[in-house]
Amino acid sequence: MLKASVQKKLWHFDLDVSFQVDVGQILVLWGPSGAGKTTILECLAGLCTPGSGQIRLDGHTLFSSHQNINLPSRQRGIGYLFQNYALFPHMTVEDNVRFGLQAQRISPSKQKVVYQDLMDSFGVGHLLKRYPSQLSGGEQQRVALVRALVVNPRLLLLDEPFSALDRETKLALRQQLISLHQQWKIPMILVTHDQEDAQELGDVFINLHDGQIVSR
Amino acid sequence: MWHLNDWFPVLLSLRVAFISLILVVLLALPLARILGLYQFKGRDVLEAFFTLPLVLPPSVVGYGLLVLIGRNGILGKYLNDMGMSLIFTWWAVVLAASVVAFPLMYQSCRGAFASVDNSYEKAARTLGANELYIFFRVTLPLAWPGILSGVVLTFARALGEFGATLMVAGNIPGQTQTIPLAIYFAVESGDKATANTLVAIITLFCFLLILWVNRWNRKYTH
Repeated sequence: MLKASVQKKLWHFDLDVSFQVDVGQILVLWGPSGAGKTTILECLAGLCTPGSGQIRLDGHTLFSSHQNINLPSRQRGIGYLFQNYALFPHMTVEDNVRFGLQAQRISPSKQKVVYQDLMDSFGVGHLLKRYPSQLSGGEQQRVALVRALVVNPRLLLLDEPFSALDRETKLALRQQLISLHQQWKIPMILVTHDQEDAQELGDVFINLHDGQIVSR
Repeated sequence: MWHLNDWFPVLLSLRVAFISLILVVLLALPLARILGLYQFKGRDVLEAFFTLPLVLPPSVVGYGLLVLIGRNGILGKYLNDMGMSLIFTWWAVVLAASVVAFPLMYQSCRGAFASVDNSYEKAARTLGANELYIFFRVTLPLAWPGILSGVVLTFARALGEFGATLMVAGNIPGQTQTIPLAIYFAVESGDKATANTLVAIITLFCFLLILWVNRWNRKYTH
């Protein structure tokens, strides 16, 4: 379970939100661009520091301005799917997927067991030797998802995961995300512009405007 | 038409260019990374200072180095007391080449690091990597084409350094005489054959170097 309250001064407005996501839930962050959605994700993941607030995940405090706690990103166990997927362009798909395991010094013999199954279940197991530039948008997204999942995150953040995809790919991936969520049972936060995505996937909604929650 | 009595200038130039390159890389690469990451008071002034040797006349750089390492210079005095002297040795050639070539490496690295999209570094952080690991596996490889062009420019600039070298190391055949100095003094004394040969060697060498880097860069970025 995630419990967060985040305050941060931004360029045009002050971000001030509090919310909670339970284990079986997908929270949808909805709102116009520039409303502070990505900033919220980055604060949760430890990629930027809130001015004040508290972030707790499964009973662990990740950030607390009161107690002066600010865990670095690498210790938070939060998976992040970036809007442009951020697959490392100089590495093969296999090296991309292995990156997190290598960084955390998982022994090479265990690595393959972990990622091969996931790759196959996402239908991208045959792409291991390719480079990201040789993949379609949908394939890139699946690989990026696998890369985020192999390190066993306790929370998954998805920043506009469907924005660059055609409708058919988007529908397939939406289904995949739903079954992934049922299987992994970790809370997820999804940032989107798209009302249909929000309705199909969301259990809880936050409508954001200029850094404030306008409706839930 | 073609003749070379003494290969010393060629060997010295290569040795100086290699050593300068190593020194400059060791200094410029971390500085470019750190100054690119942290905004602090006086950063602009520091960066302007780093770039100065690129735009100043080499004779001015040479004069500055004389003030620094000359026998009565700021540093030279202390070296003299310890029984050492840099001036008019081949180490002075290395120093002059390094100072003049430093801005090229610094600027190249600075641009190369700035060109790396920081979402890759962010992604690496969320995957559990520490900053050192990210630097060597993500940032450095992605910045590599820009850094490599800096390496080539630095090497070529160090190889061709003339003005500052002449002022701090002189033109001592067999000790501090590099290719550019040897060419100048060969022409002065009417030794056309030596000048021709050295000009041909350095031109061909630089040409092949740039050709190789361009080809490599094209392959790497594909």
